[in-house]
Amino acid sequence: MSERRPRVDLSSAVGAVASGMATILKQVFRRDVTEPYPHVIVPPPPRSHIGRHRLNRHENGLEKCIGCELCAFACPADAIWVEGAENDPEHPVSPGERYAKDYQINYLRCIMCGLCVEACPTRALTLTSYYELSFTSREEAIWTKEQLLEPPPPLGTDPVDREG
Amino acid sequence: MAVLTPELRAQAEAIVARYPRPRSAILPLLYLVQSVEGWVSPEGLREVAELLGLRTAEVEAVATFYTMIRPRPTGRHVVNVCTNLSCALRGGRDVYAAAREAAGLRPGEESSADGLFTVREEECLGACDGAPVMQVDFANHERVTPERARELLDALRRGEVPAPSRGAAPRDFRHACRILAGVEDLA
Amino acid sequence: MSREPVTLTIDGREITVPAGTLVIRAAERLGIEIPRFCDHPFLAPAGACRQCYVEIEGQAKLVTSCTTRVAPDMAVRTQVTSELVRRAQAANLEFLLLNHPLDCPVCDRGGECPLQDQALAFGPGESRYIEPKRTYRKPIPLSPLVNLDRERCVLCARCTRFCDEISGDRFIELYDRGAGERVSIAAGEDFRSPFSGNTIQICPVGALTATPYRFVARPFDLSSTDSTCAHCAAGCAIRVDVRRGKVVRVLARDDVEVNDAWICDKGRFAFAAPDRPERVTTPLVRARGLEPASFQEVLGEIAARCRGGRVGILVGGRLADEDAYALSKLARTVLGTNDLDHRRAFHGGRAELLAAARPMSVTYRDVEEAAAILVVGLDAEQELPILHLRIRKAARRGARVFVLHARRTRLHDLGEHLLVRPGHEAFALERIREALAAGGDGPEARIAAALAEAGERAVVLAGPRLAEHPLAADVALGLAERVGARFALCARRAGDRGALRAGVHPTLLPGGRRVTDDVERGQVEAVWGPIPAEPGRDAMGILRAAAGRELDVLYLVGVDPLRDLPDPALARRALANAGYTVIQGLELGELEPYADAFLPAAAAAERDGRVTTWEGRPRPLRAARAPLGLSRPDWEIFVGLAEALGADLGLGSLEAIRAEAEPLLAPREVPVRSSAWGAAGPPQWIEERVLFTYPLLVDEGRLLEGATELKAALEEEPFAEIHREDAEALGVADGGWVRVRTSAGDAVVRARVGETVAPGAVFVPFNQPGLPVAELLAGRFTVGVHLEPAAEPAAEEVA
Repeated sequence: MSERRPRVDLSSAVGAVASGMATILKQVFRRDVTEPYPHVIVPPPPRSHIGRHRLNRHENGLEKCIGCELCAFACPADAIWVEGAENDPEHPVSPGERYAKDYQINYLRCIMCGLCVEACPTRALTLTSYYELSFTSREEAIWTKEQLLEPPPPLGTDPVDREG
Repeated sequence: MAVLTPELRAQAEAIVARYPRPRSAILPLLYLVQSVEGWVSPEGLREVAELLGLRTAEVEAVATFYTMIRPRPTGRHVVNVCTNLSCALRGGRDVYAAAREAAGLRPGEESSADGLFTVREEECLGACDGAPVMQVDFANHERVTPERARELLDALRRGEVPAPSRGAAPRDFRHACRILAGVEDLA
Repeated sequence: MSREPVTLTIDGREITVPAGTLVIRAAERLGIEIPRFCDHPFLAPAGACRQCYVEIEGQAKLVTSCTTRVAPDMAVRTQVTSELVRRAQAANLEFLLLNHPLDCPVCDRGGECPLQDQALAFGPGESRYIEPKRTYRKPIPLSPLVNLDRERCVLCARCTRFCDEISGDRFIELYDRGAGERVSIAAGEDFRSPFSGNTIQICPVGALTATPYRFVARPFDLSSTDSTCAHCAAGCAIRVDVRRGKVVRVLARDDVEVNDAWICDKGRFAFAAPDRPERVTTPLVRARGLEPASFQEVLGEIAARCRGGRVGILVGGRLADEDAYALSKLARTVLGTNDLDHRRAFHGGRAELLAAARPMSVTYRDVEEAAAILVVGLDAEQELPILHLRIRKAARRGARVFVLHARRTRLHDLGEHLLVRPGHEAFALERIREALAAGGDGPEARIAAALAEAGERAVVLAGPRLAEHPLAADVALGLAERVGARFALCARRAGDRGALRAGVHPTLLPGGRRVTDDVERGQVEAVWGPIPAEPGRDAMGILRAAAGRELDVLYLVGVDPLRDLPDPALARRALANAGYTVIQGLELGELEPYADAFLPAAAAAERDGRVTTWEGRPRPLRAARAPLGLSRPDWEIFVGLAEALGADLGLGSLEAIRAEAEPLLAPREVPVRSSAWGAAGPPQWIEERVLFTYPLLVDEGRLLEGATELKAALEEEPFAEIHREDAEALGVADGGWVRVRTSAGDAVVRARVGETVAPGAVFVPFNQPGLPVAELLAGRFTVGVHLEPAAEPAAEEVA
C-alpha cells in the first residue's frame, strides 16, 4: 500500500481515453474475421495439413502403404493400429512383399501432430485439410483403412453422409 | 539312373578308404562323377553325399566353390584362359577371344554346339612366369599367342593331344578327371 | 590347454582373463562393446564379417577381435580410443551395406536388427555406393518354417555354423565364392532340422525369417515375458512375445546351465494351441447337454459326486509342480484315495524311487563335461531335444557316446549305436556289466571299458523306453552304480518329474515316500493328516476299475485316455462305465460325449508356477497373458474343489504351496532295496516280432494344434520302420505297403526298410496323422506283431 495518493495527470488521462476510443472506433468499422461456419465455409490454404489422414496410392493403383508400422511407432498418442501381411504376388495390394492388412486411426486419440507422416518411409500417409471430424460414438471415431484410402469429401458435407 | 556303375562305386569306396575321414574324399569323388558325366549333375552330387554319409548341401558347397567342378554340361575339352593381371598384360584377353572364336562360340555361349569345347575365362592359374596361360583339360600351355590358341584348338579338333609346356597331357576332360580322382595315372 | 590367467590392457584398462579367451570376450568383460556380426559366444570363431577390428600394439595391421586370443601384456585399442579402428569399422559397415537392400520397413528384423543398430552406432551414416544393388529372387523358402532373403545376408555364416557345430543337420551351406557366395540348400531338399528356428534367431540381419512371424509384429508391439518352455522336460529358458493378448512368437533365452542359447522348433513354433476356437474357457456341467455354468456350481456338483464315492484320477504330463502337489494332497486327504497316476507307462523299482526322492543326480553340465555317456532307451533328439544338443556338445568335446536303443537315433554320426530289441535292453545292460569284469572286444565290451575308464565322469541316461520293463531301469542304475557313473531316469514331458516328485503316483507320496511304508507315510501325514495306507491303482488299473464300474468318479486332468494311453478300447469302456466323468484341461475333443463336467484350465503361457526338468531342476513359468475366459490354473481348481468338499488344503497361493512342499521335497536318501514294483508286476518278455512306438517331436499332440507350418516342416506320414532282414523274410519292399496286425487291431502303412531298427522290431511313430497307433496297442507300448505285405490301401482306409 502506498502512502501517497498518485497524482492524476489530467492531460495524459484524456489522451489515453482518446486513444482507446480511437481503437474501438477503428475496430467497429473493420471487416469481421469470424467465419460464420457452417453457413459459409472458407477453404483452408491449398497446401495446409490440418485435417485427417489419407492413405495414398501409386499411379498404378497400388497402395503406397507397406504396413511397416513406423507411423504407429512414431505416434505419441498410440492412435494408430497396423497389421502387416504378405502380398499375393498375383494380386498385390502394394509393391513389394508386405502390405497393410489392417490400418486404423483412432481420432479420439490423434492429436494431429503429424509425426506419423514424417515417419512414413513411402509417403503413403499424409494429412489433408479435411478438419470436419466429429463423432457421435467411439466406434465412429476409429477410421478404417477403407475410409482412410478415400479422398476426403468437400468440406461442409454432412458427417453422416461420410459413411454412406 | 545311378551315375556310378557298381564297378565305379567300388572304386569310389576304395578312394574313401584312403582318408581318415570320409569327408576328405569329396573332391576325388566329384572328379570321379565328373569323369562319367563330363560335369556334376544334381544326381551325381546326391550320390557322392550318400557315399560319404554327408548332406547333399555339404557336397554341393564344395562343388560350387571350385571352378574345376563343372555345374553344367561341358564339352569334350575344357579350355581355361587366364585373364588375371599378368596374363591380361601379356595379351590373355586376345588369347581368350581367339580361343572362343576357334571353338565357334557365339556371344554368351560357354560350350560349343558340337559338344567339343568349353572355353572359360579363368582366374590366376599360378604360372605368371609363363603368361599368358591357357589350360587345356587342366594341362598348362604357356606363352600362348592368339595364333597358338587357334592351332591348339584345331589340333584338338583333329583328335590330337597337343603337348603342354611341361609333362604329358590327358586325352580329354573326362580322362583328366579320372586322373584327378586318383583312379588312373597320366599315361 | 592351460587356463593360466593372462593380463592385458584394452583401451588402457588392465584386465586379467583365462588364457585362450578371445579379445572380444575380454573387452565385453570391461563393458567395451565391439561391433560384430559373425561372432557368437556358442559358436566357434569364424572371422567372417570383419566388423570387430581392433588395433593391437606391435601388429602392423588391424586384427579381428573375435578370432584373436589374448596374450600376456597385449595392448588392445578398440574404437573407443583408436581413430584408425573407428574408420575401419565404419568402412566395413559401408562395405557390408553395399548390397544390402535397406528394406528395413518391410523386414521382420526391423527394430531389433544388429545390422540396423550397429550401422547407427558405428556406421558412416552415408554410403558412397550409388550403383545398382545386386538382387536375388526372394524370399526363398528353405522349409515351411524358414525363409531366406539373400539380399539382406552379410555372409556371417552363423546359420551354417550352427548347423555344422550345434545341430549337425547340415542342410544349408555357403555355396560358391567371391561375389557369388550365398547361403543355399540342395535342390529339392527341405531344411528338415528340428532346430532350424535357431538359425533365424541368431541371424544378425533379416536374411532368415520365420514364416509364422512373417510381417506379424514389430518389436515395439510386443510385451515380452521370460518363462520356461513347457513342451518337454528340457526346461528351456524362453521369451514369450505377446501382441494384443495373443502369443505371436517364442524366442530362446540364454541359460548356460540349461539350454545354452537354443530351443527346438516345437518350443519355438508350437504356441497357437491355447488360441484355437476348440478351446473351452467356461466350466460346463451336463444337464440336457453340456451347459455353461459357474465354477462354483460345477465344483459343487462334482463335490456332491465325490463325497463318499470312489474316485480315480488320471493325470497328463503337463501339470506344473504346484498343481501336482495340490492334486496329490487333494486326492489323499480330501478324496481319500491313492488311485491317481500321471504315467503313461510304468517304471516302479528303485530307479523311479530315486528320481522321486533325489533331484539333480545328473545336470546338463555333467553331461557336457562327461567323458563317456551311455544313452539307454531314449531318442534324445525327438524326446528331449536340448539334452540331445548337450550330448552332441559333449561328443565334440571328446566324450564317447553310446546309444542303446531299439532304433537308430540322430546321435548316429557322433556315437556308437547298439540296436537292441525293445524289451531286451536289460539283457544288453547285463552283458555290459559282465564285460566290465570279463572284457572282450564286442560293442558291449567297448561300452564297459569306456564307462569304467570314465568312472565319475561317466553318465548313464535312461529314457522312457525302459519304462515298460521295470527291471531295465534298475539294471541300468545298477550298472551306473557299479562303475561310479552318474545316473538319471529322464522324464519326457514337462510335468513328469514334478508329478513324480509330488506324488501324483499310486504308491509314492511327495519326495518318493512310499504309501506302504508306515514311517515314510507318517512323515507326510505329519504335514497332511491321515492318508490311506493301501497302495492305489496305476493308470491302467484305474481304467480297468472304471470299466468294471468300480469307480464313482473318473477325474481326468490334462489327459485324453483315448489318445495318450496304450489301450483305447479299455479307455472307451472306462469312460462309458464310470459313474461320473470330470474333464479338466484346455479342451474336450473326443471326450465330449463322455464328460459330465468340464473344468477349464489355464495354459502354460497364462499362469505362474514351476516346472521341473528331467534333471529335477525347478524352472519358473510366468504368465505372458491372462487366462482366457474363466479358465484358471489347475492348482486353483484343486483348491476350489477341496473347498467345495468342505476341506481347506491350506494352499491358498503358489508361495503357500511351495513353502509347504519344500521340506517334503528336500533330497533324501532312499533305501538300497526297494519292494515297490507297483502294480506293473514282473517284466514280461515278448519273444515274437514286436511293434514298438514312441512319440516323435512333432506329432498330433494337443499342444501342437494350430502349429501349421511346424507340422508341414517336421511332421511325418505314418510309417513302419522294419529291419532289412525282416523285410526280406516277409517280402516287404522299402516304400511298399505293409499290414501291421496286433491283438488289438491292424493297419496298413508304408514300410521303411533299412538297418535303423533292431532286427525283430517294428517301429511305428506314436500319434501321427492318419494312424492312431494307440488302437494297435493292447495296454503296452510294445506289443507282439504280425506283418505281411499289403496292397496299396484305398484312400479312406489310410486315413
